[in-house]
Amino acid sequence: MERDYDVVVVGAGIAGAMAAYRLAEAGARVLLLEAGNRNPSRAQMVGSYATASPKTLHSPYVQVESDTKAPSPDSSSTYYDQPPAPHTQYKSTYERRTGGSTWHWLGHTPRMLRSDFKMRSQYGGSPDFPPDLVDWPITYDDLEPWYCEAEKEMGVAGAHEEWDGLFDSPRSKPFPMSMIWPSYSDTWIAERINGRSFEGLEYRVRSTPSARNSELYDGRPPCAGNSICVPLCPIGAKYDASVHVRKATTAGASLWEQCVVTKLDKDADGSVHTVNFLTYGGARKTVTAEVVVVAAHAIETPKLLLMSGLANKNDQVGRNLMDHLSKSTFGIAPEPLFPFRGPPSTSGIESFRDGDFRRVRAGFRVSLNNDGWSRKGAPYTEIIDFVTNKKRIGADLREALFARVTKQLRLSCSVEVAPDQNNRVELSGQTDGLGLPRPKVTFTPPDYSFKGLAQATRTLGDIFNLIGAKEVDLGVDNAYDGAGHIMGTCRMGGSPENSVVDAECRTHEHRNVFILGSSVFPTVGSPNPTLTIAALALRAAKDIATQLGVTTQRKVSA
Amino acid sequence: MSETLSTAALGSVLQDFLALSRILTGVENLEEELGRQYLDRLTSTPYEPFLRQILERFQKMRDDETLADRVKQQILGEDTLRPTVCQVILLWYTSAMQDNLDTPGVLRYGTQEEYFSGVGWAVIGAHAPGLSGGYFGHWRYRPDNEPLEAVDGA
Amino acid sequence: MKPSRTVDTRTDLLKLLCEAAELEHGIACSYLYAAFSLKRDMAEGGMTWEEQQKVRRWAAQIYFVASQEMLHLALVWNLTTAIGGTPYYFRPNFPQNSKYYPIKVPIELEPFGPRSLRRFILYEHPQNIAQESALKSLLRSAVEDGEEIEFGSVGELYGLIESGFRSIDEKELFIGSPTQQMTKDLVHFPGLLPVLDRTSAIQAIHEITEQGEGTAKDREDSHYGAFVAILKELLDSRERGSGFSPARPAMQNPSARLERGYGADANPIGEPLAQQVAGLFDSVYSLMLRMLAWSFEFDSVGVEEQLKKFCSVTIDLMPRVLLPLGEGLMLMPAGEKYPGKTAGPGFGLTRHVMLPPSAENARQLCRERIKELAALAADLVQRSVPEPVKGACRHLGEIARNF
Repeated sequence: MERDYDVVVVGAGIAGAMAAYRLAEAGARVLLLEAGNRNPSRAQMVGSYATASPKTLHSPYVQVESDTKAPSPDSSSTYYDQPPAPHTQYKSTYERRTGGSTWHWLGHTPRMLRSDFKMRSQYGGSPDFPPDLVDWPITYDDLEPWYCEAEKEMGVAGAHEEWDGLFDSPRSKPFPMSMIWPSYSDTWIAERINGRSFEGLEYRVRSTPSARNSELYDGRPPCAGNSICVPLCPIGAKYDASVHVRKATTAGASLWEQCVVTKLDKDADGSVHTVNFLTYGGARKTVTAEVVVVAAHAIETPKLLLMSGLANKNDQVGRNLMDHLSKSTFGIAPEPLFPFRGPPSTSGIESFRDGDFRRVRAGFRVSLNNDGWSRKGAPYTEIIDFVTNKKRIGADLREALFARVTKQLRLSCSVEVAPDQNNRVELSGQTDGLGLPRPKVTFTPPDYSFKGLAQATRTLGDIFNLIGAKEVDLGVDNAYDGAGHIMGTCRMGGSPENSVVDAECRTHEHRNVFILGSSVFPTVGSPNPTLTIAALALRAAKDIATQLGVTTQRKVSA
Repeated sequence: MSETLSTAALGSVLQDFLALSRILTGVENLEEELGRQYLDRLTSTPYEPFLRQILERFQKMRDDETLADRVKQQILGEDTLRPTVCQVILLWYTSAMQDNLDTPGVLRYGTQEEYFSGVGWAVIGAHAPGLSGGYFGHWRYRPDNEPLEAVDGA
Repeated sequence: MKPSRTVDTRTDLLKLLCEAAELEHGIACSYLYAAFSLKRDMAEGGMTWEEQQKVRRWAAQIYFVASQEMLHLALVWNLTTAIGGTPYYFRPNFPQNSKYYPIKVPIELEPFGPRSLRRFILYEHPQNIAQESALKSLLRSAVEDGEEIEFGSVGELYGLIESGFRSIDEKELFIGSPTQQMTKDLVHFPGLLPVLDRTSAIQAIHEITEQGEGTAKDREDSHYGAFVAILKELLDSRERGSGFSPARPAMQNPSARLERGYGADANPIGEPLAQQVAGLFDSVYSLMLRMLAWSFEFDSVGVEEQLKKFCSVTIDLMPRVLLPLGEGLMLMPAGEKYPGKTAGPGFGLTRHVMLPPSAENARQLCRERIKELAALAADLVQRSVPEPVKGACRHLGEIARNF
């Protein structure tokens, strides 16, 4: 039976766009459906950012119609239906725009580690080990070649010698570009802590692999230190998925924006070929496909499956919602470190991500940051304080500002959240601007992760101590921010009893429905998820192409 | 002269405002057009009467040899005027305005020109966030515009 | 494209490498001059905030291309020492005679604009370019003087060099000591490859040409592609608005002093303070070059750590002293003879003291010289020079203290 398209991809974020690109290149007829609008020009977005207050994640992307009809937690602070404080909150957010949340991501692309794929086999057994913390049905080695592919597609800059073989996770290819240079601050800190240890684990500052150009790459310029990667790269040196949206449409994929998918219809034999969507004007439309790819990020994807009554025989859809617990700590270094220059973070410490301690508590990544105390309002708060309270003006004020603000340092951690099936996304009774259910979110980080957070906090305190920092602020115990890493909810597994998709990202119940994106992660380790998302998407595109009977070999160019 | 800072009087008022701003910010090269814009923004807010007071005082002391000291004592030193002094500096440094002193984190920006012309970023050896800081890798080194007064290792 | 003749002796190959060194070096200076001239702040006039975003991006890209030219020079030096030669750091002063090289386009110091971009595109253009007529028409729209555009590129020179490495017997050719080779572990040039044999030599040459002119499949990430894109953007911006003026009105081919070694056609800076700053630039530049070339010749076996430290001082001089001096000069008046123009660095390579082979003595000479220059800088800082110049002088002082 002739369908409208070979593949309909729901969601034009990085996962959807990469898959659409590869499939269109292979000759498949592809439709990318995006709920949100496309963004205006980069220059316009910079302009919006410049005059926005507060300068939120969403500030460059505000578009009233799209924000109403395809709202997201970025555009609306009440989008999640979750129990209010003092209940623990789910804090990470996402964008619904063509290109998705990569518009405002930081750009860091570390890989998962070997152990992250087999947590239960490697570290399970103790009573402290979370019961829902499982193994992936694939290994690091399975994904490794796809990590290399993803790094090439996005353009990742990194230092091969620093990362090859880290925690038994080798790299079969060098990075496409040499590393983003560490900041002055990173080097200063490294001189003081490298080689020292904290509770048996050695400090070593490494440059963070990033999808940020260190040279001309893919028609985009090298990073010029505009410093607002979050929420927007003014020059396109930082990768965002508009790159692959453009490649997909150039390769022949169709892109329809402002199309909010509302329901996927199941046929009698369990296959899914009909995609129903609403336009902003409220018109109901339908399109059919041989294969359906749901890549709407880890909240909208389970929401859509739940609205459609799909893939959920075993009540797994929406469960095991995860994030990384993020915490920022602050201090004043004894010497100027010159924040507010370069990307917001260029180096980190990987030493605490893996080890035997994962039997009883979570691992974490440490980031060294170049954004000073901006999260505490610097330099504005400092200017106001110096003038108003300390009565300084003129050269006096300049000196005081320089002496204080240039020494302000933020260290942060990103702690693994273990899956807990009670952390989940469901359908709320409350509706959005199109009358669709909003997501009902329940999230309490497990103790396993809170223990990791406590350890991370003490580690950051130790670093501040080693560098002789003053005015150290380690925050409140158990308080965390969202890392922007929404993961879990449609996890990958060998058994349909406790997973939604198989090792190829195909839903167990519907052989022609694939789920791409961080929804499929059974565990999250401590790296930023985007590279893993991209690797899985590229890998799945090959499997989808095989299933469709097209090849993912690139068309030979003239 | 009218009660408010009318456009007719703006000419010399602007020059006074610029001269005062140079003393307050510690920055010599302040753009006249920006000064006009900031003056406009201030005169449409509750800061206006305080600014008028400040400029009147400043006018009287302009020819004084110890001008900077007198500004410190008689303008900055005055509790009721200090928030406006702070606002003037905040505008030049970052283009932001505090509409409500009780919520210091809540700021309001003007135009993009103003934002990218903020002089406060150079004071800390940086650049307005969003503007390119320079060539790839410049963040590896101490800034070019590090102020002279800073002593090495201090 | 086949090379126009055979290269089958070491001498011939070394001479070609010297020519390549001169070219990469001269071209890098030309790029830097254009980058220095790009405005940074709206207060300089002639830019809206949107234009400022573009101009800053262009500057960052041109600096990036210049940094890759310096990498090319470093690779040429590695190629040179690998076959028994000495790193060549000399070059004719500006403006350079257009007949001096086969590339037929003179290398000049000129501020950013369609004319300089046109030159840059011609330096880097690929040997066999499919869209030659499109390129010609783009270049014609860049200037109005109707000057006939003749090609002859750097790529041809490397074609000759590569043929030399291929045809001369490998064992006979590679007589340099492998421990002379510089790598990115010793000196901060990401992408620097040691040259140890024919394969690595050809790899180094391909790295140079791919970065410069790109490959048939990938032009846009090459220097050529970057300059074409910038020129198109510039012409587009000019069409749309009047009053857009991205560059400082820097003079052409300045000289800090009219001495032996400066071309007769150079323009001596008239304003005394600017002249002094330009003189400091030349002195630091010349020292930095000598230190770098010396490092590439030096056999570092057993003393890698010291060499690394020496190199890091050398490299530091570029972004922390030369860059702000160069930018700052373009904020200073050029002199009465050049109404409306600002000064600029002449990159003058005039008579200088060569560094001795002994590491200890070389270090001693450099230390003393840097301190002398830092003292000059400390004096300049007190005068009414622009902020970037003050910053450069301050950095020079710090480098001198820590050397």
